[in-house]
Amino acid sequence: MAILSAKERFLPYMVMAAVILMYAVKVIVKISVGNFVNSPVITGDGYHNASDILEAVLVITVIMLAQRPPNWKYPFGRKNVESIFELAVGLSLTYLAFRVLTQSLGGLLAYFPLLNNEIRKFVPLPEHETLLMGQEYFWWVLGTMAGSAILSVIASTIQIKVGKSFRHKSLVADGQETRSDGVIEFTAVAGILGEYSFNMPVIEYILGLGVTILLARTAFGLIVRGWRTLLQRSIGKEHEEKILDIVQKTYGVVDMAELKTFKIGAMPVLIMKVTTRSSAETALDIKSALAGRIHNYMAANEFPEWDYYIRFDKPIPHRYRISFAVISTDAGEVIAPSIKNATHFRVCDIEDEKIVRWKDYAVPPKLNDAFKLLKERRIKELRTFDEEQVTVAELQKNGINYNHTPTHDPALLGISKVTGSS
Amino acid sequence: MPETNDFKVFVFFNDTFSGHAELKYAANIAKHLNSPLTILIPDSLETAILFAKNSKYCVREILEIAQKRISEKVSSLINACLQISYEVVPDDLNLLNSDKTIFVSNSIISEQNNFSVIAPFNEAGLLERGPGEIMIPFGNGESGIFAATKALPLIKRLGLNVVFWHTTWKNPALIANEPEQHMIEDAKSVLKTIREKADELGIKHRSVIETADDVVEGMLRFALKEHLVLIVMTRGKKTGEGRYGDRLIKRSSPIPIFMAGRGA
Repeated sequence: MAILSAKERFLPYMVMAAVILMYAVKVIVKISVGNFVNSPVITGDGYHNASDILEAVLVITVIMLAQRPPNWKYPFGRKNVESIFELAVGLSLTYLAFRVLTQSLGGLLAYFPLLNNEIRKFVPLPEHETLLMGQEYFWWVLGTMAGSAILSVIASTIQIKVGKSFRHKSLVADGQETRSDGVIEFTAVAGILGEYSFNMPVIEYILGLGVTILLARTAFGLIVRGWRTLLQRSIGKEHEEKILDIVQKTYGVVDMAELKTFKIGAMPVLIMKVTTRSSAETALDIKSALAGRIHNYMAANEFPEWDYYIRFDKPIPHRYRISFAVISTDAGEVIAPSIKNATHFRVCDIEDEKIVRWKDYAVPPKLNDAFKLLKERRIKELRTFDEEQVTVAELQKNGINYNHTPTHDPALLGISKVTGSS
Repeated sequence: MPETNDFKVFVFFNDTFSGHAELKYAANIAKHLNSPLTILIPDSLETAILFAKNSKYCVREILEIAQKRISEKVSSLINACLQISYEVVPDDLNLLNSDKTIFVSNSIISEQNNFSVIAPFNEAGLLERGPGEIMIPFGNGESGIFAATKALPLIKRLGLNVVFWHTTWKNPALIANEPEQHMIEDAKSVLKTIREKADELGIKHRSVIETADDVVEGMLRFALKEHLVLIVMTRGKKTGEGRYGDRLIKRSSPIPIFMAGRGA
């Protein structure tokens, strides 16, 4: 887990403090202006902003929790709390999108009374209320809403930027909600302008439908991201294939037997099982190299912070037995032309195509007894220099394959008494 | 027609798993160098005589059959599409007495210092795991210059780039963080010389200076991380015990090693 710098630690809190200050200004101005112009809409929005202050405090709490280091109770830390918040914001934006949609549809239907009456028989749309404020309050209302919208956009931009830079999903999610508030406020401004300047309040409702789409898209993105993280979805097939390629191309690696990826908050976690024939000491070198090579890839793909767990394993060995027929005398030893000439069966244990052990057995005088011995020793293949066809056929009847050796010299086959195994 | 050159690649024939791996790597290197591949077979006259006493063949026939079978085996292992020549000749290490001789073997790299040896370990070819550079580590002595002198013509022929790598002890009197600042003058001089040699041959190169805790570990970890395809080493003349090249082999480097021979 990376150690946070002072900037990483405190900047998100400073941003949220500024956001709280912004909401405090909004609350004071909106409630004051709302009361002044007798607008329940503006006063109500002021109280809504008061609840945003509570949400901002919640974001700070979530960030504090997420920044706490891992311990034995939470071995991966508590970063997922940000995904829970992300999911919650997504759901609340879904509700908001639904509200804006029904209000906008209600406003539009008011222009078609017959259709309005028919639809309302089946769909419980909210009652449409026309703007009731007088001309003399136009600039107060417009100034309040436009100023609020501009503040929302500025604050949300900073929240999203800082949230992405320091990988705080809750900050990004809250920023996206603040931006949605700003879009709604701009739509309200458009509605006010449409009402008072062009006598076309319908503009607000048409824009409202557009806002619904924007809100729904933002909500969907937040819900999907939160859901995927909480359910530990993989970081994606494309990334996993690239990581697999990096691992397999690293020297010393035989294969990657397993790769599991998921995210804790915004941080990807990789769990790998790598097979290698290297020693424990070299495996540490390979591990260090893998960390460096994968980091280069992750950093280039918007994952500067990531965590990994690598377990090394030996490849499952392919084991079987073969036997060479040899002539072993005081003068030396040589591969036998055939079983009939052989003094010994040199029975070799093969592991991953390498001879790891061999042992000599005296060849019985009778051929059938020789076959019996080979079968008892579970020999898969017998090798001589030049076996007779009749014997080869008999071997195959006994379930033993035959292969001739390329040379008569045991040294070149890795089974000489001098050279030992290959 | 591809350009030919006087590099010669040698390998022992062994009908074993590691023998096959060495043969394949040797064939691959020969292909990259556009050089002939020579396969050495130990003299097996004594065993042929013993064999003849117990078979229908005479000694000459046995040797001919063995040579034919080995040729067939080699052909099947190195794949005909490689388009490289090979010949089966008696085991004679005097054939290797040349500056441009490269012997491929996992075993003799530990004992041989007369000619240059590449130990492929478990690799099937030079670029089998993808393209990469070749590493020439250097210190403050003549070893780095010697290794570079031996290896750079080969690297030029292979058409690969070079990384000159060096690790230095930190100078406690200096507060600078950059490892380059801690290099001693002798090492800087070696770097200058080997860079010039690479420039003369038109080989692209870069230099990396580190302050690794352990030379062999630092070297291997850097090579693995940077996906370098070959590490060029030589045995220092003055070092008695613990030569880095030998320690790298002992550490079971997964990356093939080129040990520059110093001549008979």
